[in-house]
Amino acid sequence: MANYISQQEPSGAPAASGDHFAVPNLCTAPAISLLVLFGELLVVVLLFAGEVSWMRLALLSLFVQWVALLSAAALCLCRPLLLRLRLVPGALAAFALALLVTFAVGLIADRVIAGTVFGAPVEWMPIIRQLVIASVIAALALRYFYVQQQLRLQEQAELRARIQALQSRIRPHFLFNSMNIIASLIETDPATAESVVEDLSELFRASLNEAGNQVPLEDELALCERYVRIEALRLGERLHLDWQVEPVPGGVRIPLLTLQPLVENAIYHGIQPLPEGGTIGVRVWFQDGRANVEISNPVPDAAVQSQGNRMALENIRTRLAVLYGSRAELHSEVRGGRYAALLRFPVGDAAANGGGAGPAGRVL
Amino acid sequence: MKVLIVDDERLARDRLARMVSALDGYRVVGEADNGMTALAQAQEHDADVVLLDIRMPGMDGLETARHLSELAEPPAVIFCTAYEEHAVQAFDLQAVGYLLKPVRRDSVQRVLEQAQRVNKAQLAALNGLEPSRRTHISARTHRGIELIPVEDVRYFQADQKYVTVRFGDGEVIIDEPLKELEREFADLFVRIHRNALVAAAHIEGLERLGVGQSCIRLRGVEQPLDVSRRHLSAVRRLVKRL
Repeated sequence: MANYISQQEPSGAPAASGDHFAVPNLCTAPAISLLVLFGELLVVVLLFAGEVSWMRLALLSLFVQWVALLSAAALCLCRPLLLRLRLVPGALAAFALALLVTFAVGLIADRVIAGTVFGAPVEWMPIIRQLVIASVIAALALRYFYVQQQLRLQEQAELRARIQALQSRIRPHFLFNSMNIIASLIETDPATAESVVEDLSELFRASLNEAGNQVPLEDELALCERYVRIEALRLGERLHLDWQVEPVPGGVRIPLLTLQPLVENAIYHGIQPLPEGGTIGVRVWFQDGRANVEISNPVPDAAVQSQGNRMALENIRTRLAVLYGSRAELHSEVRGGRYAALLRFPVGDAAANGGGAGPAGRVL
Repeated sequence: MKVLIVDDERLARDRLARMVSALDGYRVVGEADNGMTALAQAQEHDADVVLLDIRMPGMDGLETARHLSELAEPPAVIFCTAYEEHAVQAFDLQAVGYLLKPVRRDSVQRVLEQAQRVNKAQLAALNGLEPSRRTHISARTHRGIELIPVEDVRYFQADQKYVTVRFGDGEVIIDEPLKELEREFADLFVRIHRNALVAAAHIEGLERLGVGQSCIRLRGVEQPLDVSRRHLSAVRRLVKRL
């Protein structure tokens, strides 16, 4: 049952945020049918604990199903309120709700059996028995939902860690080649070696940053320049850069390491395999309240879009979608022998429209 | 010992050259920034050891090593790599010398002292890491090793022991089984006969000679080649797609 429930839960609901109570969503048809099934299992247990007869089966079923379905309905109705409570008050409230329903149904059943509303005294013993059973079952169910929620939170944390690992991945090749460059330059050109160390440090600082941090667009572009500077030392004459960047209006921000991976891909897939090298184009312009960034590279013949490139694009796309929804886009195309990645995102109010919750929406 | 340094990055070459020159008994006789030049230089200077970068544009280090091993007096080969997840294991397994970048001064001397020739079996095992096909076919001719770009090859034709490689400017003879060529270049060449593979890109047309007899015409090749009955339907399908 809980499996259904956990899938039905909107992942962004506050219930997912750690110390909040995991209110089971019992408002769905599959959840209800499972609830009915579990109710009948309880009936079977109770039936065989005492005298076995069709009559008891019918009465127990009637009672348990009323309690189960009314509890579900009550939880369903109170869910918006319960979701706002912390863990312990929320769980207690849900627990109390279930007992209240049991008590009410028990009282009504007692009156129905007595055949009168005020004519006979209430038989308290059966009602107390029902409440004890109900509290044990409710406690078990709540514990179950709690464990289920913890498991889900853990899964989400792992997913986030994976996304972060994806983002901060600097190709090991790049690292070791850069180290090699530094080792080579120290002897012949210490000043350049020094600047490579500085550039490399900045790149690593960025890659160690928390996933989803936003930075001014200028900073991200500066990061791209640092990256290109290091690669230019390595590739020498083979790498040319066509840098056409319009002045960036104040306040334009972009998630950290959104553009650098695109530049990295352009060099890795576009320049590296070509013995004669080529030109990387970086164009930035602003139009209709949106920033446009185009990064292009020559296409080596018979080049196929590699897995790595697709993954990088998909990764960037996902991160942009979290922030801007459908107002940001990332396209790639091959045109006139060049591969181009075009990124568009709204300028200005990005943070205000961000997801709000979660690390993805945080501003540096 | 005459050492040749091959790396597409100048700074990497410079550093290696400095390190090797500083060692007693070793002399850098040449530097190359790609596989083709490396092969020419190795022959010209009669290099004893080649320090060979694995990742190079065009012809990579492994392919260059393969062509080097075809030389009459193949030099010893030491591979250089910045980071190859599985390669290092394979190098150790195949007892092939290698250097990791950034190269350490002390390991240069040690590796040079132990440098050995690599053979085809070792290279095949290393190639298994990244199933790649060669960009060139090498043939031993009276001029030394001749490299023929694969895209220039019109057909391979087997003859008892050797395989004739017909390309734009002529023919050479190589000593490789047709079957392996077929496997390596499966996406470029098509089998038309028990003894022949033709380049799909150079096919001009399929001709019918008579009952059950067909031949194929290739661009730049006068003599049409027989297509055997067994391979006819596959060839026909391919020609239709072209």
